[in-house]
Amino acid sequence: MMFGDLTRNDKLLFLGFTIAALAMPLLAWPVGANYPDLLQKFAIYGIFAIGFNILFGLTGYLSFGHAAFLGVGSYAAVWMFKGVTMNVIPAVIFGVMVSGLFAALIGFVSLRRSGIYFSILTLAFAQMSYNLAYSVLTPITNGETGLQLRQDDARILDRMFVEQTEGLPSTNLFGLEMSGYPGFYFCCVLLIVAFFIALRIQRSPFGMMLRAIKTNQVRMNYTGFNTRPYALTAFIISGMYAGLAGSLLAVTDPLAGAERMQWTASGEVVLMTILGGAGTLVGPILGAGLIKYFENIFSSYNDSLLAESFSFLPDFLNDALVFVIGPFVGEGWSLLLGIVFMAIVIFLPGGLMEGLARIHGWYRGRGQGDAGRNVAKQAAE
Amino acid sequence: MDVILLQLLNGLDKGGAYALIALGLTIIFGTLGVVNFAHGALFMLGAFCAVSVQALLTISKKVKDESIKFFDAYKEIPYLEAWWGDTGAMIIDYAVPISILIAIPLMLLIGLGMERGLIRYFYKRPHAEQILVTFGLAIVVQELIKAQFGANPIPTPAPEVIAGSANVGLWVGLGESVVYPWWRLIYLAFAGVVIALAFAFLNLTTYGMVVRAGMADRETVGLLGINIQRRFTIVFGMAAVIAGLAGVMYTPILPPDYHMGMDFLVLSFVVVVVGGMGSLGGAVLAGFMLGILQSFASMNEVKSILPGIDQIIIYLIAVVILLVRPRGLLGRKGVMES
Amino acid sequence: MAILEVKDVNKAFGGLKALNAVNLSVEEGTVHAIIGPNGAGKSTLLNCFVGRLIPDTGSVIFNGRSLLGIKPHEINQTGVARVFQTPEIFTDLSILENVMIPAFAKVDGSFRINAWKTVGTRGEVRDMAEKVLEEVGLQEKRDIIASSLSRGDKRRLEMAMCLVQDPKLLLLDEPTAGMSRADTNNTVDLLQRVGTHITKIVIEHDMHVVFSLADHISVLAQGTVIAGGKPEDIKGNPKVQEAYLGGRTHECRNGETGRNGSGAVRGRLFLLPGAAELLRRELYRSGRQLRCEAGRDPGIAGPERRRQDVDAAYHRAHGRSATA
Repeated sequence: MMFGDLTRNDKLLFLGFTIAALAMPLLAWPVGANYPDLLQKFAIYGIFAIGFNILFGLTGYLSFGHAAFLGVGSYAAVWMFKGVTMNVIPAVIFGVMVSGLFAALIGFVSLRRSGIYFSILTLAFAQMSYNLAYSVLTPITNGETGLQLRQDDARILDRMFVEQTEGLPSTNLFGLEMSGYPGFYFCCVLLIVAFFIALRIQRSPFGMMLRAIKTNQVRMNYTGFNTRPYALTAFIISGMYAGLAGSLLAVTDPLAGAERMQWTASGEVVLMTILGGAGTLVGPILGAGLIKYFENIFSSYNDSLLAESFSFLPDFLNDALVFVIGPFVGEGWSLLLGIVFMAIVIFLPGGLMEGLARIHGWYRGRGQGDAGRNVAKQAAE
Repeated sequence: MDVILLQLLNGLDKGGAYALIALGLTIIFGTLGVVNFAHGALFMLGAFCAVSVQALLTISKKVKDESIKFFDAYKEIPYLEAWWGDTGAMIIDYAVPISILIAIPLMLLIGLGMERGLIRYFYKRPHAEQILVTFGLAIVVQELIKAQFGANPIPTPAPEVIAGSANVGLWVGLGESVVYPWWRLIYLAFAGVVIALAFAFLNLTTYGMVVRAGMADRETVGLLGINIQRRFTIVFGMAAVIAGLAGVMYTPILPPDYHMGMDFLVLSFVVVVVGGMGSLGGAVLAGFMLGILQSFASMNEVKSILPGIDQIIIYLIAVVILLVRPRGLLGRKGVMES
Repeated sequence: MAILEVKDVNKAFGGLKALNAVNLSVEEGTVHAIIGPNGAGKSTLLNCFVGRLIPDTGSVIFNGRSLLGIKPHEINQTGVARVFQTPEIFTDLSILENVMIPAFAKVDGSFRINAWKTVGTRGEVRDMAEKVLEEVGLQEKRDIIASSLSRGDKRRLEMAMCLVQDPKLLLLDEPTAGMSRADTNNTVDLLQRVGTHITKIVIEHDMHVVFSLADHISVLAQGTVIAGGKPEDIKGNPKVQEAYLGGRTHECRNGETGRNGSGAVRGRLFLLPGAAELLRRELYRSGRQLRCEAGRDPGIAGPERRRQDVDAAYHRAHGRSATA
């Protein structure tokens, strides 16, 4: 029953995705992104974006506070490390559960409104959580410093069964340390699982209802559906995905800070989803990967590095290029991000997947007219 | 008693800024039906107007410092001072008031450009896309400012004449314990005047009346052969000016940095929602109300009973309002109620 | 046996009485047409059946159960489906999906998390949908996106979405509004052919449609049922002639809420008090009255308009002169 009822195309899609995910170090090698820290980020933010897409792309609710669930997942996971064990399994489960509960609470209130009101409500809740994490909740969040591991943490289970060593312990999967490539593959397996679940949701009657809610909520009500629990379920699932991503951030680097919950972070996941293509399965992951990749590249550059990499050019060309590109690298990375964001919303609201589909449709000679685009859009999903 | 008065003044101050930004937001939403996430950026641009004017006025030349004899020392003297002596120094001192005059046409231009160049293509697109594109614009503006002026707050003091504090306590017979900076009082008065002007314009002139008619039923006004589009564009420019002025005036209170727009935007949105989307009076009322509530919530006496309340009070109120009375305090019935 | 029993339903909007002691009884298995001039309260009445509006007083009993105060989706689950005046369909989804969704509502109920098995495993639902699509003649187009359908096809699709639920009662709000003669005939044909056992309530202006479909006609005017009976009886009823078929022009004095010969006039547009005042003054001064069809808004606002402009605007909006 796991795969049997999927169509041949979906099986191929999943197979392809699995292979691509597992071979990510190889695929990322030509572009110089094949080091574990970055690969981990690809996988983690991929999960975050898949989850966000279930709410935004599928159900049509634009949440501007999704980073709150990411943050909560991180805090929960770090607390599990501190209190119980450095083994990652309980931490991940705990992170997902806590953010799921948190999402249920916030979703229950926020989903009483739709449209822009929903966006502002989620934004308000996220800012509230962010402010609280910085102030009153300091005993839980450790305020501005962020929650970190300490030598004298309780770690009840570890103290019972594992011999204590000098220095801070590291996160592990039954002894296998979760840094470097093992850490990446742990995230990668979870990414594949997350993708598989999203695929099943999207192809299920439940997913069909979510898409219908996005298209015409009024019709849904008069068709005999109670739409609110559907949307709430989507919200919770999506919050759990964010919690999973958050706890994985803690797995690969066991600390949690409130800045993860800030609304700019929520904006980032919106951008990832839009960039890749909201409503598509692969798009959000693509968007997350691209943004994390370029963030990594561009933000590490500065003018002198830039000049160095164009040193094969004549001097005046080199200077000109540095002058043009300079403002967008290093600190200016966010500027580029903002421009890309605007460009995507203005010219390609369907994201890269729509772009690919259009090229595909054009290539097959039916790029003209709406009908062709619709066919292409379907193909993209 | 004096503590309460002080907190009230503090709250009115912040409330003034909220009200001014929220007023523009709600005008734009009411007329154009656009949710403008870049409105905070306009506030920030206003503030950086003042910063730029100050920077321009203080362009300096290096001169040898004659007072130091042991080695060649140089000091920087603004050209203005070098040319006109004390008069020049006074002009520099008045950088903030001067920038108000410059901010008005500049912000109007920016507003018009923004509406013609970007916003108008999004009238018919879904709210989500409006939010996203203006959000992107806000990031771009913010990052440009950061690239130009750096990430640190830039102090832009008020003129020296009014640098001190007013003895507000004496005025109302509460003794000398209540002192309040002059500039903040001026800010408050300024906010009041701008709000009054905006209301007078919208309520007393036929031009404003047509705009309000358009807010109520845009199609019909269009049917009358009025070019409502042009008026809305101008209204957008006005909203930009209001936000910009709020920013200029706020600089002596809070040294501007590149993310101040975002900080105020989120709160101003909450203000608009609490006041009622599209309701001008609601925006002003809610702006002052939330400013005052926030100010009282940050009193130690309150915080000791409800820890952290100062951080979340505004959001908490917004949540309650949205759930209990979704159209907001003064919102028109049926607007945005699902 | 009566499947729908409406007793003494009243509904007022502010000072305007939209429904005034409406009594109606719909027999099971019949087609019941509700006719009446614009603004007579037909749509208001229909909205009271599906939970969009709650009447001020009175009762609506469907199949022995009160429909008042329960949510639209619950009403649908008791077996009431509705076709809207402007088709409400899922424009981004394919035709087949559009019809499968209501089928799922019928089979799985109002909420069920069936997120693990694919839609493909639910052959029975697909069969239901395909069967109905065949009946309405859309099976050829089942894989295209609904937004690309023609207007007539959208109506047919919405009809299919209701039929697939096999409702006990089907409400049709002007099913042929804005259709060409050929499309209208197709729709009539479809309604006579498909789901013949389903009780239907039809709101309709096209008398040809009404008389070819209805077993029973109720005439609504000023929010009250002024006549009811078999089509033959209605045709000859002088009250109906006067209220509906006679085609009198109605007058609205000052552009605000007012009443007239047969229907109520609602002034949606004069939202600015100043604007309404100016307009009224202008119209009085000129000694003329604003004349408009009952229930239709003249479409005028704005403070600085002269009468000629008012005329011109009205003319542009409605294709004829506003003042007489």
